[in-house]
Amino acid sequence: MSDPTVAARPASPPRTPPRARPAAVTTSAVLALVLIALGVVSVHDLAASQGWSSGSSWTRSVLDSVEGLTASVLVVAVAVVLVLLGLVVLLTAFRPGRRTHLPTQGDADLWVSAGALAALAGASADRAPGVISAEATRIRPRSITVDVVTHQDPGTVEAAARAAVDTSPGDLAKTRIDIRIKEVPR
Amino acid sequence: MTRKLLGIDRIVSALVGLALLALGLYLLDWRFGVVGSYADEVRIDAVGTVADSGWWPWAFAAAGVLLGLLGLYWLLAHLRRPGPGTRRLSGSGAHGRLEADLRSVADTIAGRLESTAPVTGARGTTRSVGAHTLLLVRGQVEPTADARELVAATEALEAEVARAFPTDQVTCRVVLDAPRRRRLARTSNRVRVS
Repeated sequence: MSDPTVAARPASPPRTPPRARPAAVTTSAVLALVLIALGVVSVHDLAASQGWSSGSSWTRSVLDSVEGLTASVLVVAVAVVLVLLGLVVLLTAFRPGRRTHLPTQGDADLWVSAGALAALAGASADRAPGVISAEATRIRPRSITVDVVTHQDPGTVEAAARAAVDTSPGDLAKTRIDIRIKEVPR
Repeated sequence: MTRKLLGIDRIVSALVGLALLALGLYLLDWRFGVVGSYADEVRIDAVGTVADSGWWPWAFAAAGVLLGLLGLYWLLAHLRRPGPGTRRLSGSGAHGRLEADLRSVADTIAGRLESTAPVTGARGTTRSVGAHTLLLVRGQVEPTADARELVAATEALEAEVARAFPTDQVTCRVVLDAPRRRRLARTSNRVRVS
């Protein structure tokens, strides 16, 4: 029988991981800026054509520069760039944003970034006996490397740093944490 | 940013990608003539006549300003807070509507997490995940934090939210980032004895 004093936990939502903004957002932001720039150009050209400002129409200048253009090597280079850019934009349009955080072990809906995990590991190792300094240098979602500097026995210090890292962050997330000892002379 | 806006972004991105691809392929075909045959030189006589007409600057400015405003609206739409602001609770009925201001709740639990766990800069927002509402708390972990404290504080927060919304499909999520890098002081107060 369930304990009436404990509140029933509502059904958990699907654990969809936190994600960065998809690339499509960047593309649309650039396109929005292009539209704003188009508005500026159009107002400038109106002002120039009506004599409200000095200068000539920018669109007319563009048309004049296009007049007489031939299919030169430069055009081919621009075409290749456009094809590649078009492919990249098209392929990334429906790609979800990259995962930014790692799920933690257990029931808590707690997510940590690889950087947060590295900070915890680096600080834990830094407090271990015999360690001069410790810093996470290689930070990947699957593995983190903590560089430990010492002038004492490397084996003992590595064991101490390993024990500290096993305490916190420990098995908070499924990320392997490697300890790399750098011995410096006393 | 809402799901609808993201959908619009994706469709527009795909169309822009297709347009760039088509333009690039057209220019390549102009050079190599694989599919069609084209004039050797670009002639803009007809376009130039339109551009020189008296009505063109006005029409172009009107369309340009409209498109510019659309671009500004589109850009600013990305800055809007995405999640729901309120949620109708199951206690609502014929006698009245009962709603919770979810953003205040999210801000409150963010402050609560900061006071109970080694977390700084906690901010609360909301997200919809299907029929569920997530109270999302983002913050930076303190480097000296104990992982067990973080888990315990999150579980305590989840339990509090579950007690507050027992049947309303509102849950909380904690997302932690690395601590912000502080500028190193010229003089360190660290003393190491080894």
